[in-house]
Amino acid sequence: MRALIRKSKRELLLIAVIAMLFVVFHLISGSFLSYVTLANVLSGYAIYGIMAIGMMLIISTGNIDVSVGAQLAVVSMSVSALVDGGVIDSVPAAVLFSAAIGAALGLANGLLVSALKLPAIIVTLGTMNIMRGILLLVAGSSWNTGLPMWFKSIARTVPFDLRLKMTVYIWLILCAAAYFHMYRTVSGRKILSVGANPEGARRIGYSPGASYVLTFVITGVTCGIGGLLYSSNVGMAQPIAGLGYEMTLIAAVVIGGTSFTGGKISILGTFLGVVLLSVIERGMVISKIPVYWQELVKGAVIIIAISLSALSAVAPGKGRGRRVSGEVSRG
Amino acid sequence: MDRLKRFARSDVAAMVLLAALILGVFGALNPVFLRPVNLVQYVNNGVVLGFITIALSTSVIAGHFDYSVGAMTGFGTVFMALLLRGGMHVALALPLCLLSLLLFGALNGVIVGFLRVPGMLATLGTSSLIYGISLVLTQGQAIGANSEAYKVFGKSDLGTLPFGIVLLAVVFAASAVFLSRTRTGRRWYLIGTSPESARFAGISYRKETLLVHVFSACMCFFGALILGSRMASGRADIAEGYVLQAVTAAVFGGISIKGGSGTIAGALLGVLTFTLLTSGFTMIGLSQFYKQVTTGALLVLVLLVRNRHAIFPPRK
Repeated sequence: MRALIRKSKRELLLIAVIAMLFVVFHLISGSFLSYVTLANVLSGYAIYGIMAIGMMLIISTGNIDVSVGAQLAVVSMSVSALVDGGVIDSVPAAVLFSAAIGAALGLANGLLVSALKLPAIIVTLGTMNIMRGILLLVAGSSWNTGLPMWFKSIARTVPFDLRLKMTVYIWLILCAAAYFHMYRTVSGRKILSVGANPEGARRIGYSPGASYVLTFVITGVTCGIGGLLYSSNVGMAQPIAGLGYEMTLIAAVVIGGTSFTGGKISILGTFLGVVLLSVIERGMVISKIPVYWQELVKGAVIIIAISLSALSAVAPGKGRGRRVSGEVSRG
Repeated sequence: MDRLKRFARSDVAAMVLLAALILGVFGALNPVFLRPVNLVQYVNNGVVLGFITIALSTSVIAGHFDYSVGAMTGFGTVFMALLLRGGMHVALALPLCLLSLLLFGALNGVIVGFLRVPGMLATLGTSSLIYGISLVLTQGQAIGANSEAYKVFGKSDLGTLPFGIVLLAVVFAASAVFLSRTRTGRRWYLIGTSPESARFAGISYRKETLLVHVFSACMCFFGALILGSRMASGRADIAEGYVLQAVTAAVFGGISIKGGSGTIAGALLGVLTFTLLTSGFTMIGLSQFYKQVTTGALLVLVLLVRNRHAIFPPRK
């Protein structure tokens, strides 16, 4: 029991903070502490949650992907165009196409990162601008609003009478899948070992490059599913969809305890990180705090989270100045 | 002769060649492109990007990545505009604005240097925070700043050259000398090359990292000064697009993204090339979105070319 508590300190802390925020917002607004709010908190950020799984894997290998929002927009636009054109006419086809387009985008990112042997932030900054630019060129500021009902109902269905949208169930299923992949398959263990020590992993015959590519492809797929659910949920597709998603995802992952210096992930932590950000946003809206404050609070939460992680990493072993960091990536 | 050969093979030479090529192509398309008045104007358009590129390049040289340069520049314009609107004199508002930005730089430096958070991650966080502070101060609006004295920085000429160009030239010369000729400058290069060796050489990682980020914030102050004065306003996201452009320009100019190599002169040459290119695009009437696509594509392309030896190892 004690070992369990020590192992999941971060997760327990997050649960405590989330519970505390529920109480605080309840005191401010008078109506926050309820199952309905919790259901809304989960439903509102489920797409972030799905994409955060991919971002977590990328960050755990010391890389980063700032093009996730752009990938979501590309998938969202192209899938709704395919629905319009009659190419996609069923739910399985929509899922398949979104995942495939996302995977292709992720593959491009992954190949560039592992081939260039350069910080992923530069590469993905570049691809983000290419994707967004092309979308705006092709579509202008036009919104595709004529999506059919069967498509819109993919994300909007509320099964089981639990007030949770379909997106939440998909989120939970993907978390379980990530758990299985990371802890029960060789491929997942390889990603973890490459994150922990790329050189060591290389010496025992794993290819860091292959693992990097895999994490980017997985992220592409989660962005694909995110894009599908996004356009299904809002009932339209637009080139600026997903703007700024990367910051929220990075924040959630970092808050969840996944470290840049690699090899350690926490699927539950990432889940709770997303929930925490969702609670903050919803609570601020319900408490009628002006929307401008959200960015500031988000920034402060990120800084506190990374500082806490850094402090807890520096503290043991009196290693003053031992951990020389400042490396953005190891390639 | 050897020096000449080495120069001919360097990134700087490639950049000069590229700039000449751009001038030639656009000049052939439309001779108006080459008129001296227009050439000065292109350089003038690149001044703000120049300051932000110096800021970013310095942090990259020292092995970090100051992502918050855009947010800091935006905050600078906002704070200046608010102070001026409140009736403060420019002479008093300037140092206050500089001080506030230096504090943000120090915050970056403390998180990166003392807490040892990777620079890019830390500045992504502070970028969000600083942007948030600007939003709260302005409630998401643009704040007008119509002081006559403030206009001097962005809209006046010194002799035949716009004030911005002169200021950039002075700041550039000072920071180039600082980075290549002073102990502190050389220490930053060493930390960027190998933090471990720097530590063994007795260099304080904390102190130098703090200084690098404060320096970067100081450069953002100059950028904010020119940008805010030109726009006669302050807005939180006024400099948002500059981060990618600055990275592209720096990489163009031979700054290694892994730290420790490249020069400010190269980076500014990158800015010049980049500005010529986008000015040319504007002249032939290409939309903003083409620029965005080209910027991204060029960045990836330049990286591919520069890293060709790592990607395709030469046969022995």
